[in-house]
Amino acid sequence: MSTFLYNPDRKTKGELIAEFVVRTEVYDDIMQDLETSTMQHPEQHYLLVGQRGAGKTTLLNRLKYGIEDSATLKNWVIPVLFSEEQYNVSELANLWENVGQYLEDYQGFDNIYADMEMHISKKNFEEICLDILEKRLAEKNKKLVLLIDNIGDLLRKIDDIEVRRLREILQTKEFIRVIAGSPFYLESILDYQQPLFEFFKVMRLDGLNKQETENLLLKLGEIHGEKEKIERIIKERPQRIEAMRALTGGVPRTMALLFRIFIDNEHSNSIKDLEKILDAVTPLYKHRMDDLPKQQQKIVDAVARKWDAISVKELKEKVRLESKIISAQLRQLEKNQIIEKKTTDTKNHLYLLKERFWNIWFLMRYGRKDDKERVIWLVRFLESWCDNDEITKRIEAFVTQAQKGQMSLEETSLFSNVYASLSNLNFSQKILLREAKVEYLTSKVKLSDEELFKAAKELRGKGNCAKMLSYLCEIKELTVLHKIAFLSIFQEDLNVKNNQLVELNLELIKKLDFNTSTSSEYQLANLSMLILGVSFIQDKFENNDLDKVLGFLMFYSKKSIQTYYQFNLYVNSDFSIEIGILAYFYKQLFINNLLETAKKIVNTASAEVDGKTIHFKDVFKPLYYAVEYFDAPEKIQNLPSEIAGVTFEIRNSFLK
Amino acid sequence: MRNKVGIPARGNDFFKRESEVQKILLRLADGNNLQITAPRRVGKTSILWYLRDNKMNGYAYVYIDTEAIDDTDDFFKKLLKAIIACPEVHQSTKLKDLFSKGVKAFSKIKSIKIMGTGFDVVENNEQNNYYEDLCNLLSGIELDSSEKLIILIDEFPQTIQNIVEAANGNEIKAKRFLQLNRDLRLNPDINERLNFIYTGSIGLNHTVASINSTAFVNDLSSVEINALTNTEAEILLLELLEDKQISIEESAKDLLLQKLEWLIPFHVQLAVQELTGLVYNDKHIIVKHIDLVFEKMVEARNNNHFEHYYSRLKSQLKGDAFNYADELLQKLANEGAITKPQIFDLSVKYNQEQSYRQIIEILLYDGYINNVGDANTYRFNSPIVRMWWQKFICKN
Repeated sequence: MSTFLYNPDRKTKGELIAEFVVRTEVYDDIMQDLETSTMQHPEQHYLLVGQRGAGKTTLLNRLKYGIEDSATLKNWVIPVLFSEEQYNVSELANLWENVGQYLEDYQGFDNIYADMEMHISKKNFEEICLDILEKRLAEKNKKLVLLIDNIGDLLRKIDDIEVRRLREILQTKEFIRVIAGSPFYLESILDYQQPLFEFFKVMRLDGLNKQETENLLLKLGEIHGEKEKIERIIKERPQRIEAMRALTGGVPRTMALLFRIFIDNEHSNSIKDLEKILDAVTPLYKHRMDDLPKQQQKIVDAVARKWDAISVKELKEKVRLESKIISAQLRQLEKNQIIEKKTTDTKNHLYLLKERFWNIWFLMRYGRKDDKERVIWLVRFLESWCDNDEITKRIEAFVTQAQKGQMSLEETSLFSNVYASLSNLNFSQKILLREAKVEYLTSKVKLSDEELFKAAKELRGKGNCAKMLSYLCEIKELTVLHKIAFLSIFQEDLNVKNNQLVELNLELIKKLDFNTSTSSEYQLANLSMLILGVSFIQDKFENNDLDKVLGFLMFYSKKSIQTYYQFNLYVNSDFSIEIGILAYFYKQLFINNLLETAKKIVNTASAEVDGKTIHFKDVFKPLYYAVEYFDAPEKIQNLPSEIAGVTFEIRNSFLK
Repeated sequence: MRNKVGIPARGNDFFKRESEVQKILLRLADGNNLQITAPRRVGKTSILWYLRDNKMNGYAYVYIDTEAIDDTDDFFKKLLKAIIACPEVHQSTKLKDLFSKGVKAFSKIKSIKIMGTGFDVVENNEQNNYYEDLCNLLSGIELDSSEKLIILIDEFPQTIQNIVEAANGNEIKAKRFLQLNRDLRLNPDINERLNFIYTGSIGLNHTVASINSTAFVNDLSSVEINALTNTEAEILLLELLEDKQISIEESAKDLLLQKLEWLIPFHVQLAVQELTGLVYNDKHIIVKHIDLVFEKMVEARNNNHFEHYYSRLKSQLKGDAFNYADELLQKLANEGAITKPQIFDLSVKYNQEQSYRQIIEILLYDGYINNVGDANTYRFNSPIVRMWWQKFICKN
């Protein structure tokens, strides 16, 4: 990872100018103002506000080169750039001394610094230094543009009266113009009561928009010889650009850092890069945290740990500050682009860290060290970074590598944890992981009951009843629907010609533990009805199937093999599978009056289908009465016509 | 005319405010010492610079900004230095002549020496008494061409506050400072030859009242600087837009001025700054831009131009007095207007029945509110300030 990507001070002039592709509008605005100013009177000063990495330093450097290269300015304007690390200022006089040194070293102002130092012990040393600067500049018809990075650092060091003095200078001295950068809004630096900043035009360097992001990525692509790849991503997968913006909060420096990972969607290389990057950004991000006042640090800490948006109420419990204070601090943090507010329909808005990558860094650095928390930063990264396709690709790559033994045990364990913890895994990704045969992974990938059920269903007809049943056995709460569905699956899979398999499956049925019902009759009837219900529901009430159902039921109620054959003949179907299942129960239970029990069930049972409760009574009503007819024909004489029609139809079709 | 926002406008960037300038010159012609009063951002400092840069009425002007001074001696030293650096003084052959002959009081001056073609202050001598030297210089000062010297002292009230703060709240030094200034102004040998104009971002009257020293400034004649008239604001707007090569529809222009209501140059400048960004490409302003521009003007990045309204209240009013003003302004921001009985009722809540009038005076004087048009109803002076208040101060 080359550092020059995010350290503008280390770039050569040529590199910096060539790579300057964002913030161009702000640059053009300021340059136009500079080029049309005569500096006969004090001019507009500028303050560039944007969080660390937003491009302030790059812009200040670019302005310096712009002034040096401008035909209009180069002969009479001297830009002096103060980077954060460059100057050691504890009083205003130091600023002028620094300027003096620079003029002496680079601009041919011989002995100007020495002239200043002669007066160092005088009470009004600062005034003298400025006078010397003014005089010497006037002799050469030169003016100064001071480019001061992180002006807050400077202002914090000098006392109030010197801040006033600086204001006086900015208001009265035409030979000095200031363009400053600050990572925060001004109230963090200085009380507005001191109206120094009224003279500044504030230019916000907000997160890059889509177009700017594309420009930056194209430029980065060009630098890395990957321009075509970027062009392809922009054209074919624009959602990835948006993911980059979301994760980085549009901060150009973070984008530059993540560039390698952006173009590389392989499984492990990019993750290693990511770790390096997170190490590399530690000074930057730590600084950002240290910049904040104590209360804000506390709040940011709590917000970062939560990761998802958090409410003031929840924050209150975590940071133990008054809601009023928390809200005020959040407002401040929002202004400073650290926190993003998610408005809700209520007054209780939610807050999260704006730059998600910072949050990821935070989780890595400060997250708890237990197993799950240890990898949470990586989990959050992948969640933010990858779309579904990409997650799938990564998981496939991981599974292949793990299975081929191409990863160390430690790595396998790490990534098992990571992938298993992804909160937005879809069904097929989970199955991919479950089926990976990687140690411990199966138990880490949690499937919901619905997913387990779906997994079992998907194995239908694939001859792997053991696995299918093992999914079913994991279902925590077996609903009637699950039982119905299970039997439906089972029904398809059961091969009566293969007795061994029948035996096996019957064993597995036991595991499903249907023995929770109160009576054995009920239980068997339940099963029978369930089977029927499945056919009934699945075949969407077509008459032919009603016949099947009814016939099957009648066969059982009469316990007559003759009826069964008649029925099979009539419907031209083979119900031997169902018989196989029921035979098992039949061996164990003696049924005298199945029909009676069936009626009970029809009256009481219900099932959840697609979130709706279906009462069997409603579904089976015509069937119920049709069956009833054989026991007590008089009972159905007074049926409402809409039921009577179907009921008689069923009865008649059976009687045929 | 270039659009400089916040910084005093000078030279071609200054919008000539003939009536305000004449008002000051008339008072000066009568030999008055003045204090210029107006809320912040009305353009006081720019007008002072205009007087100085153009040597209006043929006077010689000396401008000093004393906001960083917290010591009486330093103040007079700065004043002395500024006076002798003023070209009319520095190059006065008459003065040099008198000085070299050591006539009149000049012989007593220790801190000024003739250096090269002019004068300079000699700072090495610990015994220098700059105030006395200043009195001696001014009592005999003669200029070659100008009939009068006008001393423009900006941020004078801040200096008074600084002196009080430097003495840890003790007011004695500040009172002495005010006394010396008054003596200087009223010295019959001096006031024939020069006049003073005081101004500042914070009100002089409030500042001296807070240390019970109103008597020290009661010789000053107050000149109030008003907002722009509609015609003036229109001209300013068009000139600023012309510089950006931006045109504006007649209806949009009228709407803007109508919505700005309180037409101080700063608000027009800020509107132009934001409009420039809005019509970056097509360079033409139409009505729909006007609503947008008001939103833009009160975005957080412009807080540096508004925050002082609130922080100043905090520093000027304490405890329940502040709470009273705070709620009153929030109410006003939310509801648009407040009547006199409501103002009184609210004062009861904060035990301000005795002093609420004073608070209202401050709010009126400092440009927060007005009751123009209906003496019984108060409103925010500026819809922009009201919007800002709603956005950043109001809790509901």
